[in-house]
Formats: sequence, structure tokens, C-alpha cells
Amino acid sequence: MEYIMEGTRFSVLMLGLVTGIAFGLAIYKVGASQYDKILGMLRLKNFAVLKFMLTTVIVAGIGIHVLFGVGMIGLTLKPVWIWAQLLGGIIFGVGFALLGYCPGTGIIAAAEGKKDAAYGILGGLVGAGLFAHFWPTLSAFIIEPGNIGTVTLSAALGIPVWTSVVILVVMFGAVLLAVEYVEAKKN
Amino acid sequence: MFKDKKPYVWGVFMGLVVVFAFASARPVGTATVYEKVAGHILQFFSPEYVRSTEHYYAYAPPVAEWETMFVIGLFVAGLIARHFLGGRAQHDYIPEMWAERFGPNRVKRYATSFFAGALLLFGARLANGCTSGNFISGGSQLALSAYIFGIGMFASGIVSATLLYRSRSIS
Repeated sequence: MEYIMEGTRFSVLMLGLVTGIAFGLAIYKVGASQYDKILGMLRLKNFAVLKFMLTTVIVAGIGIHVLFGVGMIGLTLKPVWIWAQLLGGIIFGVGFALLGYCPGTGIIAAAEGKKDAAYGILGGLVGAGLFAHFWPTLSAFIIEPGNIGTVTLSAALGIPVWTSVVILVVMFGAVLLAVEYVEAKKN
Repeated sequence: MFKDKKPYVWGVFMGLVVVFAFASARPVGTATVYEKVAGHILQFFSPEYVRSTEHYYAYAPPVAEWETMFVIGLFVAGLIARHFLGGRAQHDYIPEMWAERFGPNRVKRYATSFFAGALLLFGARLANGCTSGNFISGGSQLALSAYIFGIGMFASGIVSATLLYRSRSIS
């Protein structure tokens, strides 16, 4: 309680809560808190969650860059850690395929009463704790050697920001079209 | 084509939620909260250990802030789904596809889930973000970090899922 009093403003905490509820309900409605839907995506059999994710990134990408363009918000970029992000993504992918939930959707699934998701969360606490424990070593040998600072697609390719947004929309749009085409052909 | 519009409709809604988060507070993310909670629990047993483990205080201070409330919001959404939207899972829930492939043994499923959860969050912390913090928030800002993580995640996830379900034709 004292942390809440000393730390972030109450109104900001409530914004976080409301955002989480909206985010969680969308995930539930689309079925992304279901093991079968996630495995369906990873087994390339059911693309509902992929369509949902890519649409999210397209809409958010356009929206964020509009607000950024008019100066309403700044970007909050994470640094590129080439090796850590690649290796982390690979380890994450194995866990994702075994568990069928990601760190966020697992929370929703557990609240729905899915016990396997609850065990996944407990394991997640252990995994996060192990990371913190071994961080000095991981940082020296994996994270820092690949740390090249914050890089956006537009900076990497030397193109204007809006061009990179168009590339994103075209790229993800093409994936969605391809997926729809494959599905239509199968039926 | 585009017969099932539901994923797109909710995707648009979700995209607007992500923009709202940016405009009102900060990018969405989940994985750091696991480390905060782990720190809180460990602090209960050994404050000395947590104090001497630099990463907790440097990168995941155990305080309530926006992201913690966001994760609590996810849990509340699950409760709303369970009690008001007919999403209550069965008491002895095992995913259908899993049961078809690996049988209905609960210990096997829960032990695997625990191990998988550990891999998931270790990987997410190493990559500096999970599906929400890295792929969605980073991807929509066109951060290269998100795409490196995304390629690793999808490539490894697809290979792992295919290997897990090989030699059986389960629909």
C-alpha cells in the first residue's frame, strides 16, 4: 500500500487497470487465451490469432505514428540486443509451444479457471527469478555484445518514418492476404 | 476470403487500446511484472538476497506502477469472462488438443506447463519483452528489437509445435 501512495499517481494506476481489462477482453473474445487456438497458429492450422495480432500491430502502428507525427507522444523504443533477442525469442518460442499461452494471455486463462495456465504463471515467476539471478553473466556474455542501442526500421534502412509504416502495412497485409488465400483454397 | 471477420474486428479494437495506452500512459507490456512479483516473493524470504541481486532494483523495482495494474486488469478481464461471458473453464481443465496428443494425465500437463512457463519468462526477460511488450508495442513503433524477437519466437514456436505434434494427424 505504501508503494502505491509513494509511487505512481492513482489516476495512472487506474488507467493501467482499465487498459488491462480492455486488452484482456479482446484477447478472450478472439480466443487467444485458448491453448488450442495458439497451437493451431503455431501448427499453421488455425490463423485467427495471427490475424488478430497482425491487425493489432497495423492499427497501432498507424495510430502511434499519427500521434507521434503531430507531436502528441514520443516513441518508447527498446534497445536492440541482437543475440539476446534472438536467443530469448527462440527460448520463448519453445515455452510458447509447450504452454500454449504467452505471459499475458496466461494470466487471463488462469483467471478463467484453467489450471495449466496457473502452473505456467508459477513457472514464469521461477523463470523471471532465474533471469534476474544470472543477469550479470547473461549481460556480460549475451546482452551487451549484441547491444547496438535503439534502432527503428526507418533508421536501419535509411528511409523516412512514414515509408517504413507503409512497408509494415504492406508486409503484414501481404501475410494476411496469403493466409486468407490458403484458407479459402483449403475449404 | 475474409469470411471470419472477428479476428480483424478485435484486432482493430486491440490496436486502438494499444494507441490509447501510448497516449495516456506508456506502452503495454507484461513480462517485467513477473520479475517484480518474483522479487516481492523472494523479499519475503530473504531481503538480503533481493538487495544483492542487482537486476531487481535496476530494472524491475518491486513497486506498483502502471504495468502492474495492467496485468491485474488482464486478470480482472479473465474473471469477467469467467463469470459473465460464459468462459468458465472446467474444474479439471486440460486443453483438448493436448489431451488428444498426450493423454488426459493432469500431472503431465501441469508439470509441462510449469517448465514451459519458466522457459517462456526466462526467454521474455532475456529478450527484454514478451508478445505484448516486445512484439506488439515494439512492432507498432517499428523497433528492430521487436522484429528480431518476433522472428526467433515464431520460427522456434512453429518448429517446436510441429515436432511436438509430428507423426499424428490431429485436426
